[in-house]
Amino acid sequence: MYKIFLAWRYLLSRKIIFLAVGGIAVGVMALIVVTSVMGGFSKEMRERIRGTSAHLNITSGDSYFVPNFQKVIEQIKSTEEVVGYAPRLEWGALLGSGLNFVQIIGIEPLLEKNVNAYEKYLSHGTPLEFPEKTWNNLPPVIIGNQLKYDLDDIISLTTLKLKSGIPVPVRQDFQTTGKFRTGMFEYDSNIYIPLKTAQDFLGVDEGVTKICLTIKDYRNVESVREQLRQKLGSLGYFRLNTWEEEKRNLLRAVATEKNINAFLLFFIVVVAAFNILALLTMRVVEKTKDIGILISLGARPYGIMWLFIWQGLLVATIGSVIGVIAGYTLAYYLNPIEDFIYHRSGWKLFPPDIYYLEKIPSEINYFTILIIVIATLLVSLLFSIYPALKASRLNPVDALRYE
Amino acid sequence: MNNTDRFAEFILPPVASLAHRGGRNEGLTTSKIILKAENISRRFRSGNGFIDVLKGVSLEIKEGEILSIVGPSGAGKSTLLHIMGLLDKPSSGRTLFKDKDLYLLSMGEQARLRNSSFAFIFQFYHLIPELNILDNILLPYMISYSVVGWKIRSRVLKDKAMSLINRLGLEHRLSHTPGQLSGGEQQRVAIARALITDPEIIFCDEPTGNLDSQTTSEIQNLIVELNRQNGKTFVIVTHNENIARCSHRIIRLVDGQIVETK
Ligand SMILES: Nc1ncnc2c1ncn2[C@@H]1O[C@H](COP(=O)(O)OP(=O)(O)O)[C@@H](O)[C@H]1O
Ligand SMILES: [Mg+2]
Repeated sequence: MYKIFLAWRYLLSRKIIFLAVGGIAVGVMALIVVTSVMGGFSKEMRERIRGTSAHLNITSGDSYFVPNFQKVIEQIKSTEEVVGYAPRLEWGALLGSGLNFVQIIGIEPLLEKNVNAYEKYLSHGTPLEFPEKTWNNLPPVIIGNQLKYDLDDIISLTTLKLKSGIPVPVRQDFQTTGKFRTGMFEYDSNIYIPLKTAQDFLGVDEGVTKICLTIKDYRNVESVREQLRQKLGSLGYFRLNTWEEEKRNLLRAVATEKNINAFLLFFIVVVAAFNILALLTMRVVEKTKDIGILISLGARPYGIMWLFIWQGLLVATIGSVIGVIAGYTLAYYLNPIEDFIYHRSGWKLFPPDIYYLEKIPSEINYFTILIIVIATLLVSLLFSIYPALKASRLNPVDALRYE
Repeated sequence: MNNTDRFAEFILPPVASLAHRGGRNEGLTTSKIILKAENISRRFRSGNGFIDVLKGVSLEIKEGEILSIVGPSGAGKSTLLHIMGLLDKPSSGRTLFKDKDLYLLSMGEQARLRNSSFAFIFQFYHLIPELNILDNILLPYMISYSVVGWKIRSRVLKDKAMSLINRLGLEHRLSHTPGQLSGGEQQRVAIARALITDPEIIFCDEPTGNLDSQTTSEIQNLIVELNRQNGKTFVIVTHNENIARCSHRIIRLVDGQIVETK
């Protein structure tokens, strides 16, 4: 039992150990805080992406518009698992007089609110439904807050409509009756128009480009998709995509960013573990005579090896425990701490207008903490092995002669 | 009552068996050979050549004797002691301990012998500076027992160590570390550590080489008492005439060879 016991005593006898422990602690702490913030951030982003898209989206496989619109809707309504649907007409347009490209989306707000977070994104004071009549008798629009227009402004949109297959430019004025904000740059320059108005604008009376669906339990999305595919088979050629498939690139970008950050930060831990290597190498030299004594008392080379590995592991364990406690606390109280710093110094760590976040997102994941701790211990073990092996190969007689 | 008396009291065997023990060569009733070195040679690499430190040394150690090895510095005395005590390997020749060839044993068996059959007492005590006296003395047991085994026995073993500590007059030094002790006290701790596992042979390499004459005679008395009263076998490398005089046999080693046995 001397290995842990003596390893512990050896550690306590040297103050320099605290440097190594501190290094590990700082590394682990930083990793926990950053992965928590990145986790919270990516969860927030995922929620926003999810909020702007529906569970399942039906589009035409071979044209702009969903064919047999009424029949498709009937089939959808008769599908038990589908609890919400909303037709959409998505089209491109130029805003104002310049080359300011925007996406216009024709929706029926009462249906739209059942398939995504549309209602939640409407700015304060914007009613869910478009008003019957506007001030100037122009059709109403709701614009994203990235567009530099105010309420009641008149905006003009230019687009191409298809007249027997040939694109013809059309232009129309609208009046801003509301605003919305999703927090995602990609969406916040869109313009919502009542579906009927959009269809008139483009001259397509029942044309929609997409039907968005909400499914009772998203876990059943595959079976619902298969069911719909069967039902819609005779009505035309359709594409049925889940929101994750539609937003795949965006989701992947968020996930990749998170992993790259964690990976880069892990180098802090590697550097800290390198301290252990340096420290143990020094200790082996310092303790050469002790190694000789221990062997003369019956210790085996294997035991000597573990004596030093334990020292490395103890440093890593203590450092990890401190790091986990500090990191958890910091991640947990991140916002109060940020407020405190702000009130004291006026310095805003995390300006809310950049990411539209009122507070720093922080999502503490216990599994991630476990992985961080295990990785730290493994790296420390790895760095302890070399000096430990060196110690175990010392010749006892030479070691005893060592002064 | 001095320390050695106290120690004698501790290990005092039944009076009857002691009656005939006394001066030199007395008390060595058996001549059973416990360790036998056969034609030991040891060559060290030195610069780009070799030096032969031991050149075919043969000797026998009898159970219960004090064997002194004397000779000039550099004669190879320590090297011989290390080889017999399993700390070093001979270049040729073999060592038999109870008829077993030491260097044919597995690493684990060798470690076990070093732990419980052999013990070393060095000139510079060689205690672990981070451990207190009690833990230093218990170290051989800490090495041989697993965590569980230690948990089970630690009480008994601590009691055993405490008796040794008391009899060696170290009880007031219990929680001190070696650095806080005088040379003589440190050597007594080293002796306690050597005795705790009841080894069969105790190898001493100039045990009093670093002590003043007063302490030297105390340590010397201790060794003699341990031998006379407890039948412990000692192999002692020494320059000290008195210790040599108390031993049953003296071997003189010069230039890696035994030149005289008496
Ligand atoms: N590891 C070694 N490498 C080279 N020479 C050594 C080594 N160990 C001992 N020697 C040499 O062997 C000789 C005998 O050493 P030692 O056994 O310590 O002598 P003694 O104990 O009789 O004074 C010395 O000359 C010493 O320098
Ligand atoms: Mg010597």
